[in-house]
Amino acid sequence: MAMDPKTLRDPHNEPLFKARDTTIFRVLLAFAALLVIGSGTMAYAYFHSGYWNRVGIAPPQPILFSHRHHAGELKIDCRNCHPTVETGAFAGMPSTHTCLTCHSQIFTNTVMIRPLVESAESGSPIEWNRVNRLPDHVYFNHSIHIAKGVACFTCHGDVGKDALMVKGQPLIMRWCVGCHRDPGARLSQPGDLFDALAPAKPPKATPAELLAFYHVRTAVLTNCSTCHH
Amino acid sequence: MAATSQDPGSSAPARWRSIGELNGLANEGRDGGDEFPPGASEWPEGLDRRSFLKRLGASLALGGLGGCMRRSNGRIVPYVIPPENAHPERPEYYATAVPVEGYARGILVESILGRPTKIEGNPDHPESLGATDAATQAAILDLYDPDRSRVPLRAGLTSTREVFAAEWAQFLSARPAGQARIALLTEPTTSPSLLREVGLMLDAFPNALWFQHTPLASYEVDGLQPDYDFSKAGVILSVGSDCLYRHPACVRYARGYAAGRRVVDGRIAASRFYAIESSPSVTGVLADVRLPASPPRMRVIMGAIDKALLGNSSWQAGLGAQESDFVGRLARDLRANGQRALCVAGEEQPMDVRRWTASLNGRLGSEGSAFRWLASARSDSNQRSRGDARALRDAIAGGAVEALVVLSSNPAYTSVALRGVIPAISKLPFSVHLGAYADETAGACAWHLPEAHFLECWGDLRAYDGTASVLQPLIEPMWNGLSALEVVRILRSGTLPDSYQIVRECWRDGAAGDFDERWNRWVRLGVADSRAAAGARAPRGPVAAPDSSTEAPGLSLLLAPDSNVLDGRSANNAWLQELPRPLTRLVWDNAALVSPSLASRLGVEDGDVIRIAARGGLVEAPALVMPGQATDCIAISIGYGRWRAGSVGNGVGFDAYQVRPDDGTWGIEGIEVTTTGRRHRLVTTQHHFAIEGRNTVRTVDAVSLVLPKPPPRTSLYGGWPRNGNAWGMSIDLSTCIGCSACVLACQAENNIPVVGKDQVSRGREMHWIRVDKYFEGAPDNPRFLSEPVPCMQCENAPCELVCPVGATVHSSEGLNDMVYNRCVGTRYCSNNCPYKVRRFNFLNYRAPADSIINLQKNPNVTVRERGVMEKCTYCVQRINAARIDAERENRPIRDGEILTACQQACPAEAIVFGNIADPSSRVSARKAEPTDYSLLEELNTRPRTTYLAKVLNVGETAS
Repeated sequence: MAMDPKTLRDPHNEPLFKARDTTIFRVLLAFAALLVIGSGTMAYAYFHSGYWNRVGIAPPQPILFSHRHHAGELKIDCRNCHPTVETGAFAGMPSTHTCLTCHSQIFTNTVMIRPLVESAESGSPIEWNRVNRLPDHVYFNHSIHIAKGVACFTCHGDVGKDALMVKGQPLIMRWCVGCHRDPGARLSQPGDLFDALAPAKPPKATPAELLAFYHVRTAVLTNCSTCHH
Repeated sequence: MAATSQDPGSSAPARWRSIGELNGLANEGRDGGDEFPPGASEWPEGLDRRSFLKRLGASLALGGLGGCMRRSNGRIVPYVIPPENAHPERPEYYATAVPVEGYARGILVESILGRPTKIEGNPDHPESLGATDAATQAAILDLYDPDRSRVPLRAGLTSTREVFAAEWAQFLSARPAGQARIALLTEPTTSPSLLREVGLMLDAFPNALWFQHTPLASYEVDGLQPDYDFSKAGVILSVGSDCLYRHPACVRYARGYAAGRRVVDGRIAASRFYAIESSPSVTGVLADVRLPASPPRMRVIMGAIDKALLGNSSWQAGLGAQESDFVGRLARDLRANGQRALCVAGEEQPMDVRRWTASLNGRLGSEGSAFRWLASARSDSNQRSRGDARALRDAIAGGAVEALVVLSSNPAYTSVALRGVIPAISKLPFSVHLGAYADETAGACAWHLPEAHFLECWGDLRAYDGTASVLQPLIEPMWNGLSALEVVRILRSGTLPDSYQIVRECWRDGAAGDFDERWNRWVRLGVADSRAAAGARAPRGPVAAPDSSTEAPGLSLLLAPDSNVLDGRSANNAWLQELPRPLTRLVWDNAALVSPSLASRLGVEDGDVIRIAARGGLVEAPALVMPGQATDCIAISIGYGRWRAGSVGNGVGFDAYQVRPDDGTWGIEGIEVTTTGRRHRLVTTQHHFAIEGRNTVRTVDAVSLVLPKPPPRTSLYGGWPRNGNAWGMSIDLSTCIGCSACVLACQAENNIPVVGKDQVSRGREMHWIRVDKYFEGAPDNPRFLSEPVPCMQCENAPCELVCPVGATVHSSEGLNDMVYNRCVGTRYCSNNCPYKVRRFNFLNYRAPADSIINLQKNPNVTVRERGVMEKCTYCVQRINAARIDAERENRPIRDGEILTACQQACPAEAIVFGNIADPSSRVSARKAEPTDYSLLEELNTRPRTTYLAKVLNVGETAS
């Protein structure tokens, strides 16, 4: 049986790509590049976002403690309950006995502070869910930040406004370094350091004056070993 | 010769690191001449390249997924009632004392959140002066040893303290009141409370016998302790002594020795140090003039010294040229120095040698200045003691013992005499062992009680100079352990007591006035008021030189306490096992040290197992060629070959007690040595991190103090801007005694892991500071040079330029910061480091997360994981803590406010750290000395750590 040579196709002679394949390939390449760049950008944005870093999220707590009431309305000084903030690495969390200073006299029978009463009775501590947490390879010291004019609200936000404790800032390295590179603009006047609310107006002193006032030596602030060792 | 080098501009003899290297085999011990030891960069066993890549891919994928998990924030758990201390997270320091062979060394213990984490010296204590030795640094690890005994054992099975007390009461009630024949075995102790309790026990049981056993030498000579003041000595003679390294007063001695070897303001009044010894010791190799001699030969030389000092002209008879040169120079210098001539004998020397050496001080006139006698602080010659382990053996064999009580001692391993009667001990009606480990003796006794660590209980001890200290606990006994005090009290009264009350009872006796006030002061300072009086000694007639008439030809064996594990008591301490022995650089082993000429005569090389037969005993041990060893003497250290030490110490090394005479002598003459044809793998760090034969240790003559200065070098890079502090360090090679206290202090401070013998053999040891050893001159009596090498913190740092991820960067204060969380483990930095001071975590060397060892870790230093480079950063955590304190007070950091861990531990104050931008700081003053030099200065790395050259005061040869 004779075959029409036109219908005979030799696969070895066939061109692998046709002209339109080039176009398809270019479009695909562009899409791939876009995908890589786009997903990278999205991942970067996502992991630096306030959402991922739990900004503004209030975890459940054993006692519905309100900073708005205690710090904002009653104007109890931060150092009353966080006593080592000026002298130690940790700010200090109030012990059961600290709370009982007042609450052995007021609201003693309310449901709200029952866990406190139970803690005092049983001797087992109250377990708070942590709101602000730094990675283990960061060595942070509260006292030096207070001593150099970083106010509580600068990192913890307007705690006097929120009924439940929420994270005020993302506390990621980029955010920390931003201040360590240019601390002057973030410093507060001595009288404002322990205010539970950020003041409505910026400080009267200029950043340069504040840096001089607090004797901030900026050279060491961006050394890696200042925070990581 | 590529591997050897010479001082520029001087005719110093060649430097070498091993015999092979001296003979021109530059890469001996390092196959193929690689920079790193064989196997340093090989895959772990059982993992080929292909499966490694597979796992790499899998872990990347899984690790990537893991990174997407949001980590729990955890919880904050405040106190219910806050403690007194306002800053629980801040380190606190408590004064106490560490027992050193029964004597006290005052220490301050760092405690963080209730955990003791680091031991420092107590500046108020005369035997510490703020510094420590290596063993003291390692003592903290024993506290957290997972192998520690945790429960009372009865015949090897778990029991309780109450059952023990009941069984003891039953034992006593079966016998007429007070008639029980009890044998009490302790180590000689200085503890007033323990001696009082033992005395009360002996009073209560008239048939009780008290024995004292230690495998180590007594520090007493005729009931008194010789004591030295090296700072007042112009000429020092050491007869086989290692008192700067292994002695209850070694820190004070090292401080005094350093005072005579330090260049201050370009001047030095250097002491001249002569040593005669059979085997190189840390102290002996410091000598300006050193003479190796076998024990019998030493006696001949001592006879010659005696004659030469008496002016007897026949002293040269029978001496070789080197020997007569040594004796001639020594006698000349001793006579010329009189009151400033100090003669010191090792405790392991025979008593006639020690007596004669001590008497030289009286003869020369230094008694009362550089030399003094002290009343004995330890109970070696206590009147109520019935003798040593041999007496106990005889008592057991003679049936005079019904109950054996062994307190804080391990005689079933350390006593040759008692090893023979272990079956008899097991058959006694009652036997109990108190010890920190269920060790060899625990296996021999019916009962074993866990002992409290000295940081867990109250106690008291006296220092070598008689200063008393009250020991206070830092932590509750973790395993419910008891102290020896408490056990004696249980045995005597049947009550379960409290060591606090026992110690207070002892010190309340006879003390007038407000006891509580004084007690609190003693506990706070770590030093009690009571001091022993200086020992008065009646003048005596001249002491004859040691008899040398019986000098026998042939080989002699010299046993010695091990430089790291002592008599075996620290065998389960991994820090000490992995710390290279100071002179051999051996890790995780002991060896029979043979001189180079004896090695070639026997036809052995490193690792060949030889059999040593001595006085009926027999031991097989691998040979190690030791330059500077006396030709006809083999030295081997005790303390190894343990079978119930714990998971670290079991089966490490060879048991030299097998050839130890039971009378406690250290030297045996007339031994027979044969080769076995077997080999044992010895691992030394001598070849690790070699600086390829370049000249690193400089020496200067004490008279001229001239060090050739290199021409100033310029750099294309501009210098780093200096604003504020500029940290720098100076290491004085002239005062460094090479004791390795710095290495362990760094290990404790910086959470440095232990990697084990196999990993060390691949060059993967992790010590951030190492002590290099070099030899100079003829192999049979070379000069030993040691050099501590931490990170140099170069200003033009080669490591920083090659890191692809910026994990090692320069700080504004001049440190080469190492950022662990950035490091991806390329190891480029280590390859580019000319000093080889960077350490890489090839494997995960961390303890498991639930390991008790983690309690020792310094919370201010990251615990590094696998694949991360690490190195010295001048204890940057201490710098940061001091800076925060200073900045809070708006003041500059004071000079001396920051002590690096190595500096703080150094007994000789050889390491000084500080601000080189401050011209009045101590480190600036040191760097201004004429003997200051930089390591590998020709590379222009501009290291911040510089060295002071070793000052030699050899003097002229006798003519």
